Amino acid sequence: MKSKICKILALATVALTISSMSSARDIEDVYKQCGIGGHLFGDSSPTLAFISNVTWDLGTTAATSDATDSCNDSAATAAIYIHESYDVLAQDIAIGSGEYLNGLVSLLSCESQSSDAVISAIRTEFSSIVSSEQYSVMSDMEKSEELYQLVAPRLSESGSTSCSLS
Amino acid sequence: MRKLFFCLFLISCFSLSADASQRIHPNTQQLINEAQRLGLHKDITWQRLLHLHNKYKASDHPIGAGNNGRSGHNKINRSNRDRHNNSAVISDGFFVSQPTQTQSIAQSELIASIQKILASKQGDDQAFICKYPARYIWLKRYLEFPSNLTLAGCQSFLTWSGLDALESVSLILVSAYLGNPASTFGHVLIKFNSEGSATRGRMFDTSVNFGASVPPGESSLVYIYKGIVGGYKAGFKQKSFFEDDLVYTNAEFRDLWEYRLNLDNFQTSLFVAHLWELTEHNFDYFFFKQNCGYRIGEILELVLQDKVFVENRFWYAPVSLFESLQSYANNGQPLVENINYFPSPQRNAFGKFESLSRNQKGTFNEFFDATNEPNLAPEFINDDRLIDAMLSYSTYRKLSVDSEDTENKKMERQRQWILTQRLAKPPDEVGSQYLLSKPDLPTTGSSPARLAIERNISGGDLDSTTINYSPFYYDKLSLHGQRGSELVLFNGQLEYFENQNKFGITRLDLLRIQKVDTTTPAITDENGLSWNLGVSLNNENSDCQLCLEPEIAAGVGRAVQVKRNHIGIFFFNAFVSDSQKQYGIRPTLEWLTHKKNYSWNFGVEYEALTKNSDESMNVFAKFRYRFNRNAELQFNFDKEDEDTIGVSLRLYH
Repeated sequence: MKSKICKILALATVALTISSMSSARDIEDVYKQCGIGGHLFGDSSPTLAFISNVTWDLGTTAATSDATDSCNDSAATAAIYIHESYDVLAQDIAIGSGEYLNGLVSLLSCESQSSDAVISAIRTEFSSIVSSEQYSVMSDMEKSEELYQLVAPRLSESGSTSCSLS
Repeated sequence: MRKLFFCLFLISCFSLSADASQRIHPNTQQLINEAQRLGLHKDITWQRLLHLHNKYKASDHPIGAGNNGRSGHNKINRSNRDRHNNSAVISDGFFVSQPTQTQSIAQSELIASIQKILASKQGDDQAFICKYPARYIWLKRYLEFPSNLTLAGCQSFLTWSGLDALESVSLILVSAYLGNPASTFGHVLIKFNSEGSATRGRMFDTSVNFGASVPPGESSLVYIYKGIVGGYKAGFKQKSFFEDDLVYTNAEFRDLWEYRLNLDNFQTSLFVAHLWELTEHNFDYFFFKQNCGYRIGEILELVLQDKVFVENRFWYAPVSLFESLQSYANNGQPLVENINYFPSPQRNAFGKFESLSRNQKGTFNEFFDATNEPNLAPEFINDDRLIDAMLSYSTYRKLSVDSEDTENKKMERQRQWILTQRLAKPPDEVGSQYLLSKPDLPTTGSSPARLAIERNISGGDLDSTTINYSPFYYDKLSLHGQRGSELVLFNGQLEYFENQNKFGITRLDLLRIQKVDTTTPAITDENGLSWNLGVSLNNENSDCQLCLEPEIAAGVGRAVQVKRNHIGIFFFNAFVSDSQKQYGIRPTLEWLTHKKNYSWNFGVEYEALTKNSDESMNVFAKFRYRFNRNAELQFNFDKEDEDTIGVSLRLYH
């Protein structure tokens, strides 16, 4: 849990930085290029458990320094969002509703489909991922990557219409 | 020819001079005159925009105005560095004017702001108007700026604030968290609510957090010390809301209450714009007062033009801000438009488990206890309620464990099975946020600070009158959401010794925390332990009024809640006291009942000193009647060596 807090805090300087991104990158590439260590803190120190009320900026990421073309647009945002919220997101996808699923859908382009159809498609494809033999032994990053690649083709580009829930 | 050349020279000098002064607008002096005529520099809102200290705002006496500026609140600090002494903003660059001998800070800053607003180039994202939009928004109410001067070109500010699509702002109360001393008083966030929130949800709303910047590797003790004495700088930072939600809700398992504010368009714009002005700047951070609740309350006062939230308190708990919000009216309407509750994954998981039948609970626990491959009988696989409860609990457990823990293979297999089963069922839009019961709002409890006057009678020379005061006092009978739990800080007890006609400090509770867990259900692997910790100074010597000896006590225990209002608690406590170097045990068994207008408890406490085999038994009972949330009358009975009865009046503020 404390390790999760560290990773989440590391997001603070990254998630809103704006730039374009190559669609060929995977989540691990995003994290490396944006200066977020997947296990930057290792086991959290007790101090970090104290800090959530009074601090956020540990100065441990160089994310905002990765200037114009690495660390944002919907692809990078989706990568970070999926990886950091994976456990809650997986629950929402399984149920078929929830705030974290809403957030993911908001990053997608529905085009001609309704958001319900998009969610249904995501659930079907995610079910294939979860039911695979290797799923329970996959690392968190690998699981996130699978989900990210699932939604990547649907990510909303600038100018396109994002999905909104009906 | 020479005259022509001289004229051209004068014209060019004038032009250069005009360029050098960055295009002095022809209306500049007119607007400055108008601002001075209106006395805008004395306006409380202007002074709050500059975060000038209270003592400063009361007067406006430049140094040349008949005194040397050295008496009391008329003191003016002349240098750029010293003007920080008059403002809570401590970082460089916040003030844009130069100190003068004849003008106050508020006045010189007003003039400079008008000049720089008028000199702003439309479309220049770095122009003054874009860096200080709140000053512009407020001044625009009183001064007629050119119509082509707008915020439309301030792309950074508009992107950050989402002002064009901004509907409202919310303040979010993050519940107190007794598992972490720094989080025991709760926390406050700001959230911007945009037009798209209703359909795309909250996760990518902008949230703004105020807190201290703590360098990496800081030890806990140094962190606590510096947080108390002002050793850190602090400021406002924005994120997407999901980042805060992941920390507070999904890592610390704290509930959130979102208070959507009923501000008009001007107030909303001013609020957001001033936050933008502050994002590059710092304040001193003091854990007990100038904390998140205080700074956000200040900005709210600025917007509402009313000193109602943070005045005259030497101590400010974040929950105090929300107490004030709830009773405040803005433009004839309640300031709080609505309050939405967002439970943590822990509360969701426990609530869903509690809703199961006994049979379902048994199946639930068998599933998570099993060491073989996860499975359920078909009738349970088809039980949607059971599968939903298992999914919630699986998510909570996954969030609880350290991701580096490699001993979680069983948990991962179980989670995989549950997800697979749930994905095979249709989507369900209702019931996934189901709760057994919704906790009370944190603000329905009493205010944090307490004064108590108590009279105890036991016969003979042990009668006493005591006065207790604590800036933060919630005990197990208090009206607050975590019944049976306690959080007491710096509770001092002053006692009048009647036989000696003297006062003396007989006790100082530096810290007293008790976490009574009645919410953890009978789920396998959930320990549901209660615990307590106390650090105090006690006077055992009635002949010495200031002879305080330290004591540290800690305990673990179990609590069981019967229906909503009754709790049975057992604690096994141990203590170490510096008084004659004693240590011992102090197990306690008690019963508590909480009702809206009264609470009571009774119990027995056994104490055994291991050093000299002294032991004692104390039977106690208390009955506390609440006149309202901030005034109580308590009767207590203690039977140890002597029977003692007491009555106390308790006032909260």
